[in-house]
Amino acid sequence: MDEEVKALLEEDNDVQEVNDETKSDNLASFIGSLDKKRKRTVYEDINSLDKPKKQLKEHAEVFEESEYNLTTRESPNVKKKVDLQDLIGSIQEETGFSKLKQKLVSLESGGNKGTYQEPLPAPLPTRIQDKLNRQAAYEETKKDITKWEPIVKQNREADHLKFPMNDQPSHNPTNNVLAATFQPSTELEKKVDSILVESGVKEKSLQQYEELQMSKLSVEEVENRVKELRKMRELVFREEIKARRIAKIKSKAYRKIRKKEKEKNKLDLKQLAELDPKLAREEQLILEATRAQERMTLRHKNTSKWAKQALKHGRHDPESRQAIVEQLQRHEELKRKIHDLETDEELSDFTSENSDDEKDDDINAIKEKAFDELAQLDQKEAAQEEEMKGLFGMKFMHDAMERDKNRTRGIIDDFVEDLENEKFNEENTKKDENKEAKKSTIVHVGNNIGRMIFGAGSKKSVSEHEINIKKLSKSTFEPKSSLEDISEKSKIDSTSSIPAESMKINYSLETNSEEEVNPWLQIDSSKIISSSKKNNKGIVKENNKSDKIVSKLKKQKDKDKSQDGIEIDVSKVLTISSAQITGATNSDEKSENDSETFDVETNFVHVKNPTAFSQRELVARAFANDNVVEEFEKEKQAIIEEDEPKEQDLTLPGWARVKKHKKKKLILAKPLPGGIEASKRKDAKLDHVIINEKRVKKAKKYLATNIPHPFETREQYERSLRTPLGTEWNTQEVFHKMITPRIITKMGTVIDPLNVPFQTNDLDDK
Amino acid sequence: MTKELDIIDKTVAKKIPKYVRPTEGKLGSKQFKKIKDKKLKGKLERIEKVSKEAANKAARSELLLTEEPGYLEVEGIEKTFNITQKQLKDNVDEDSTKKIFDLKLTNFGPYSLDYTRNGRHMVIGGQKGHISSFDWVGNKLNCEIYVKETVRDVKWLHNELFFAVAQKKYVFIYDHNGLEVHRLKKHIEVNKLEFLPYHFLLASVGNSGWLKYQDTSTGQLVAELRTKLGCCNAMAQNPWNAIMHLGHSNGTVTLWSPNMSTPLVKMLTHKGPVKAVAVDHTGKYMATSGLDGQLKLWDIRTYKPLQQYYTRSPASSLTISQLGLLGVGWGPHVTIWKDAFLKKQQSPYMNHLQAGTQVRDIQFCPFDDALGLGHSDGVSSIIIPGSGEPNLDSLEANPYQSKKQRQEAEVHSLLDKVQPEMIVLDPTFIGKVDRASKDLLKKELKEEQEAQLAGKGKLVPKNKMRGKSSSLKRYLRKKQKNVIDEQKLMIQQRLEQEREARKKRTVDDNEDKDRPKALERFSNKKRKS
Repeated sequence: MDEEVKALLEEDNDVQEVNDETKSDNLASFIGSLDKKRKRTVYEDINSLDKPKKQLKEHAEVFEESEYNLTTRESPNVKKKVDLQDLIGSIQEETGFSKLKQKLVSLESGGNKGTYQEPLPAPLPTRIQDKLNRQAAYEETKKDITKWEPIVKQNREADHLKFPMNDQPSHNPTNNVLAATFQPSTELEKKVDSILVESGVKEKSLQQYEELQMSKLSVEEVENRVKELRKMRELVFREEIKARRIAKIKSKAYRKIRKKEKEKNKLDLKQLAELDPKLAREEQLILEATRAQERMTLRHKNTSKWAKQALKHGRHDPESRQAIVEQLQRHEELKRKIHDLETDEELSDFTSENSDDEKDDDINAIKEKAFDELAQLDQKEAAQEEEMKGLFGMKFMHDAMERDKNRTRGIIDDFVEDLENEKFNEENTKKDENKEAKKSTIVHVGNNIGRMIFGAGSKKSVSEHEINIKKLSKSTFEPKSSLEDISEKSKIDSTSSIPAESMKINYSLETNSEEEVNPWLQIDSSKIISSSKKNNKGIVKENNKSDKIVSKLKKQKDKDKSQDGIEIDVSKVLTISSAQITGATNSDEKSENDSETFDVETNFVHVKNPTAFSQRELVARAFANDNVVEEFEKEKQAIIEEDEPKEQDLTLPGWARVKKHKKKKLILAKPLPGGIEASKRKDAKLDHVIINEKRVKKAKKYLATNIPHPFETREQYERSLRTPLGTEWNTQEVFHKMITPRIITKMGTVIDPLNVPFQTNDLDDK
Repeated sequence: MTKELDIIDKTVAKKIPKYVRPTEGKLGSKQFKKIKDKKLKGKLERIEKVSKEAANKAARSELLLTEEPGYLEVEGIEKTFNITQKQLKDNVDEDSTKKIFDLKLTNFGPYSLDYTRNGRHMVIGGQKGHISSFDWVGNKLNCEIYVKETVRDVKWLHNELFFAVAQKKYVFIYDHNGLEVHRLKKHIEVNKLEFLPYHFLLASVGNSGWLKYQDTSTGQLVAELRTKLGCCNAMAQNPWNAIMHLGHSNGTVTLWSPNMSTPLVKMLTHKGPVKAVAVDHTGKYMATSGLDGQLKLWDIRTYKPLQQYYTRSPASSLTISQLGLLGVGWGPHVTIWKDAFLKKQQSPYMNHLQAGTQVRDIQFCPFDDALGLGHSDGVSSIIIPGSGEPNLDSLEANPYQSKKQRQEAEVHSLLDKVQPEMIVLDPTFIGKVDRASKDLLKKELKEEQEAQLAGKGKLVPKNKMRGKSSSLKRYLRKKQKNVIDEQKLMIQQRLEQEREARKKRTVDDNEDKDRPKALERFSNKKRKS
């Protein structure tokens, strides 16, 4: 215990330099005394062991002997101190007093049974205690503070800090929130509210009503209802999943089987007729209508998206080929149906129920529609022919299609003929008056007297004719497109293209006059003149040539005109071009060196060409006496010498001359600040330039003498300056960002300390 | 959608380098690693980020420049230089045809001319004394005066309200009504005038070879620099750094700032006298023409020649448009060269012949596709497609400026006036670290301090000891003591008299005590007694 205290104290002494001398002295004496005490006792013990027993001196008691005045002094052999044992020793021996004995035992062992505890040590000096407390507290607070580190770092690194920091943005309540918390405040609102309440349209009351209704039902009923609902939902859900699964199946075989199954499941019409004739009729009608529609919409032809795809890609796929074949078959079937409309037993049976007139009308309508459709088909085909590209655009495909088309056309023709015949017969039987009128509409097909088309067919024939013509044009006139183009262009350009035309003519002229000398090449002036003369001759010749060309062009144009009936004002073009030409010739006549040669003369000539330099040489000779270059060099040399670093002469008159001083190395000159060596000059490698190396003293005030604090190198500092801040050099956005202060405070608001961003159990406990 | 964005990003990325400010030294990841101070590192990183963003945004904002410059384009074998103004006039729109005109002023030629910075107004000066300023777009005459003496050059000041005219002897400043506002007596026999709009400096150079800078906002004569190279007839300003380029008769071109008594750079450009100088508005290129028949193009960042052409007759006038077209006036011709600084051109872009005249001065009109030429028969304007900047910054130079805007712009430009001390070769020097050696800096500091000390000694008011050294006494003091002559006696007598008089004055003051004073009657006489 003593040692601990001592150590602490020593440590304390070490750490804290106590200036107070007396205090330290006291402490030292105290420690010394402690040591002494201990030493003495040990020493005595040893003494007592080693030395022979001494005669004890008689102690003269100073105090009166009494039971209240017992001596506590101890000696090695006499233990004078009264012990508890001394007092209660007698009790132990005796029986009885068991309770008392127990109490005494417990008392003897210091409260606790069986264990003996030393008495509490004396408290540490308050100074040390405080220090320890502080240390502990420091550790604790350190832990707490470290929790703040990330947020502090974040704030330090942030570009801008806006206070109050934890300001929550005022949020606008949604409509629902407003509606839920709405309380009528004004008169009107109250009135409206009361009306709503009265009429029972208020949402709350409605809800309540529903709840009331439910409450009227018995518990079982409600339960049943819920169950039912659940069941339904479950079923719907399952069905949905199933449907989704089935819809995902891509197998065609499966689809086919399924379709067949469906059809099988369907009731036959006959069966249906037996069961429910009315429904059967309706069904029949629907079927009829869909069939007609199908026919009309050409579902059965190869025009659908699928069919196109199949034709394009699926020719090698047996399945899809089969499908195509099937489709074609269907097509045939349908056609046959139309063809044998009359003989179709089923239909006749079915339609026999209707009146005759109606039947006739229906048939007529269908026929007419069919004709129309055919006509449309033809047109479409015609249109398609031009559009075909890719594989279909190839020749063999064309041929095959042509063959196909011919065949189908034959079929169509037969069909049309039949129809017409039918119509004809009918009309013969019914109305003879119209006969002559109808005859006028008869048209011979393709110069064949045997083939005739009536009525609506005539239109078709016309269209066919057109197609034929087109085909002809395609086959015979390869340049059909060009012809057309010409005609179109001429139509468009007839007015506006005059300059363009003239340009063209010019172009041709220019192409002819290509032998003309390029004005940007260097030529001697004498040469130029001669060449210009030549040019003039050439131009005259070319004029003739150009005339010829123009006449040729004119002829060609005339031809075009006669061919296509295009209107071109060639005369205008001619006038312009001729005017230009005449102008040129006139000027030529006027002066040889003008206009045409002008270009050559007017423009600069390149230095590098060595042929054309008589003028330059002349100029050079003219300035030969001005030895400008030498003067410049001299001047530069003088400036270089002037700018070279200078030395201060430190010699004193007469001093350095003395012989004995010469042996020592004397500093006779000191370099003066400023100046620049010849090799380090900016213009060292530029012979024709003298760059001033003097310092601009007036501009010195705009320079920094040192690198400002946070920066370590000049580059860093100058880099920080390089981006200008002003609006003139930045976009508005960047400018505002750059000039925003790091810390922004809102005026009139209290800036609270930061919110604690972590759990604060420890702090709260404290 | 994303593809489009990608394309946009790519196009923007191409433009970014244009907006990145150049600096010396690198600051890459390697350099960053060396920095130990975390705070500094963070700061530098932030700076880099901001500058990068600024460049990016600037490139992006180019999207707002909706107008694109267009040039003459021809098909096939046709050449642009064969297209005449007449042809152009026939084919351009009604509004543009107004830009082609001819002012026949045969009596007062040859003319020099100048456009205002926004290209709206024009001032012309005929050598025989005719001055006129007008709104050439709106066809409104501002003023027309006849000064009856030689007019050598005309120049607009900061806006269309004032212009300077170099006349026979002095330079005069006139206002928009043609009223003479100032006579600049220090500018004598001036040949060429230039105006630095950001510094409000009017620079002049003339027969005597003195380059003078006058501040037109304060009226001060900022600098008078002696070129020592004789008569000067060619001057151009570098709009990037406000340096003046002078062309001299010994074939050199010198670069001047008002802060240095010697030229900053002296270049030997021609073997004969320099006839004309022009600097492009980016401050990168210079064109010079000399009497030796050369037209030379220079890179003034490196002072190296880029190209040289040979002219049949020496070019009398050079000008460079906002989009970098080089105009050359020689004899009766004007030739326009496109991309002349980038590579050697085989043929010019456009040609114009002002038949029967001598071209004196040519100027491209800013923000317009027009070129004005002053010649011996008056002034003409021709169309040069693709010469003017199509996108204008209305805060910088606004051709459609209203009166109020002009006033405001004037105030703003005065507030933003750049001091003449800032004119150096590299205008980005401001704020940078002085790179002179430490010894030199120390020496300069010492000199400065000494100068200051010396200055302070002068400023301390002297104890003049009035009366101690009057002229008479001084005379006696300076004269030999033992020589007594008549004059000395006389002076001694005078001095004695003065002394007597002084004594008497003081005595008189004492006598005044008995005289009653104004407030004495209120004092307690008894107490006094």
